[in-house]
Amino acid sequence: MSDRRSPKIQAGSRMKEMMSMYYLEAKNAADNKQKVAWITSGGPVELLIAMDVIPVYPENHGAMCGVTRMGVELCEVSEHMGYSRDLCSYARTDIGSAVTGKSPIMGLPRPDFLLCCNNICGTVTKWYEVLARLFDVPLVYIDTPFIHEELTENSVRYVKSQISRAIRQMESILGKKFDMERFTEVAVRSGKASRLWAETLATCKNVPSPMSAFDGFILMAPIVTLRGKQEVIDYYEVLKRELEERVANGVAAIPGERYRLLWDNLPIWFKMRDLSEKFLDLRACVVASTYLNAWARYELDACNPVDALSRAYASAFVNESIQHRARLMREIVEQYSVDGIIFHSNRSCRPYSLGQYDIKEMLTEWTGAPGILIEADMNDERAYSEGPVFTRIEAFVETLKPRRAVAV
Amino acid sequence: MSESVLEQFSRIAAKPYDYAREWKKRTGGRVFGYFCTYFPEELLHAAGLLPMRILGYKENVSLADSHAQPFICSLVRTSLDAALKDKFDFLDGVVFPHSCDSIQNLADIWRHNFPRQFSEVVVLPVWVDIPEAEDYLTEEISRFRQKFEKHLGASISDADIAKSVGIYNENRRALTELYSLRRENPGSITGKAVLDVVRASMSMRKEEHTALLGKLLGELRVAPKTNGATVRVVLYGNACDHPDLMNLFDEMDAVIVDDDLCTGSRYFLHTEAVNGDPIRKIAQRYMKRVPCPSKHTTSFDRRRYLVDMVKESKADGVVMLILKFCDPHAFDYPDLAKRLTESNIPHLLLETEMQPSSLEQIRTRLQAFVEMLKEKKNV
Repeated sequence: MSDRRSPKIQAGSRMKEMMSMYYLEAKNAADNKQKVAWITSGGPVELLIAMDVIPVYPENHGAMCGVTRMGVELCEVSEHMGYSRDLCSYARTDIGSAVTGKSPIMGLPRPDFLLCCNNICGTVTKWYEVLARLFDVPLVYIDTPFIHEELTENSVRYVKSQISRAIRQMESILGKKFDMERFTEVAVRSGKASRLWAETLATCKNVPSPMSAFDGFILMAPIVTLRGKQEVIDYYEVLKRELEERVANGVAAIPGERYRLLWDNLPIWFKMRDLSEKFLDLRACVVASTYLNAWARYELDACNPVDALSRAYASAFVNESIQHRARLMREIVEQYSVDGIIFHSNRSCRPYSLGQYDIKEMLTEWTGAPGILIEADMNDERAYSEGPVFTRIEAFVETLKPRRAVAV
Repeated sequence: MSESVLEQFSRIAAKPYDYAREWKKRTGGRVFGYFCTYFPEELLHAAGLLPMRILGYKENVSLADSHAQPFICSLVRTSLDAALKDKFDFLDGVVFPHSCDSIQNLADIWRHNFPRQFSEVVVLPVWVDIPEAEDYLTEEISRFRQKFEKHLGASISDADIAKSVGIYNENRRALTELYSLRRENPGSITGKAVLDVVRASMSMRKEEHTALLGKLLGELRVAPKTNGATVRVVLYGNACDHPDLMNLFDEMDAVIVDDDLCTGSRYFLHTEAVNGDPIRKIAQRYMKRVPCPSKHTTSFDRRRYLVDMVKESKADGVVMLILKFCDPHAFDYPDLAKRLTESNIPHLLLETEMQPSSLEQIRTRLQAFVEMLKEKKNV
């Protein structure tokens, strides 16, 4: 009864199957006469799904290389080519994999074209320019102006015109017409999946939380990669139901949950297991993450899908000011009864990391919840030193005062 | 007693912020700081202000450590640090263009820490060679104009803006002539002096700068030809504000013949004639200028641009000066270096930082590079 670990989330195996099938299909695309596009994690994948193009995500693949501890080896390949060690470790991992064909799945299938949307960073612009030269394939690009204050109608018009441009460009690459009806269906499914993902995450508002962000970082793969497909909706319905059952039965992700934390920035992929063990020992549940929430914000509907798509993608979490990010985090702190915030100061992700000190101060002032920054990197183990990180986390958690009385 | 034209430029370039204080005292005018050369400073000029480029601060970082991690570029870190240390007491406002991720987030941090100071961001498009972006930018600059006018409590007329664009164009043409005179007769002026002139242009009212530059051009037009047997170098990179480093070229008897630098030719190349809607003309100019690597284009190929520059200026090699943690440049570097190698153009990468640091390592590497070029050229 006093199991140290909570039972596994069953929907995880369904997800693994879905992702294996997806990668198998992607790897065999050329044999099956299907087209493949590499796309950024914040890119409007609905356009590709609507045109029967298989979307492939270097970032997701980069994370896969990170989890399986191949990050450093692949980063070094890029560094030998002249890419600075200070650059994004996803980009270095991916370029290293692209030129060697090495990765847990023996590299990604060659792209027929690339789709890059700069709503997550300026890095993807440069990274995809490199890929376009490397593979000598067309680059479909979408520029979403950063929002310092509010989304302007001028920006929306600009993004919309680029979506139309992207559609024309893809029609010419693929030699077929874009089907607006089909696209509308895809957008509606995508919006539905995004809402379901938000509802799934919201089950973690319960005390104790049925899921931790460490589960979420794995279970998020379909919403990142395949939104717009029916099986994604089916999967998140199952996952959400399972989590609701866990709530009803009092099953906690961290048995004896004592502290509730918010994680900012990407996971440290190569340390997922060790870190989640550490939090388990501390009886601290990471109940939410800004990274997981990033995919819970796509409001798409059937009325005017191109307009909705433009607004949704222009308003991506990291495409808005640090003030805006702080306000969204305040909502999370309040709604998820968060006791403390861990900011992963991610060495090779500057846009997500620069501003964390100020966000931390704002949140402490607004909510009373303290925060710490831990120095690490999403994929480059050389920028991580376990001793100091663990010591900092332990010392931080010890100082927390649980804001909700929890039965231990 | 009288200071030569070059001495004046050099003084202003070395201490632009002192110049701003002095200008303020002299004229009673207002000074606005701007980050990065993509800010449409013509509008600030049209309102009678002095637009002053904030280009870091030559001091070690202390206060900014609690706002910006050590893996953020020193241009951002030293600028923020200087502001927190109240070194920019002369600024009446600060404006940011959207360029890279770090400047973008700096704008937010700045605005959070100095809430009472006027500040605004002009969110430029990243994709600069499509017509949609020109429409977008025209409207975005107009949005800024309205906010700025509201702050000033006065309107800026189209005629005033057109006049400022004309004054800027005149300065750009003068700087372009400086570069072409230098290309023809590189021994007549040092590489450091040329960068001082450009740096001063980012710090002075343009009409004052153009007048001073006119005198220099007069001297250079009649300067005796120096023998062309020295090693000729093209500079490439981002913000180069390192007089000591530039002096090394002189010391090693290497001349600079051209550059593709953020603090060099990228600042002033390309003008748009003043006719029609001045705001649109400003937008067009920022779209058509030689792009910073943080911008995306479909048509511009920097590899070809740089190789052509080397050929046209008959350079023997390229020295790349790149600020550490500058992502856009670091991403371009490998393919650029590869193309130079394939074109049989020797190149050297030097990573720089804004804070004071020892030159010894750079001196050794540069020395070896220059020696190699000399040997290759049989000087």
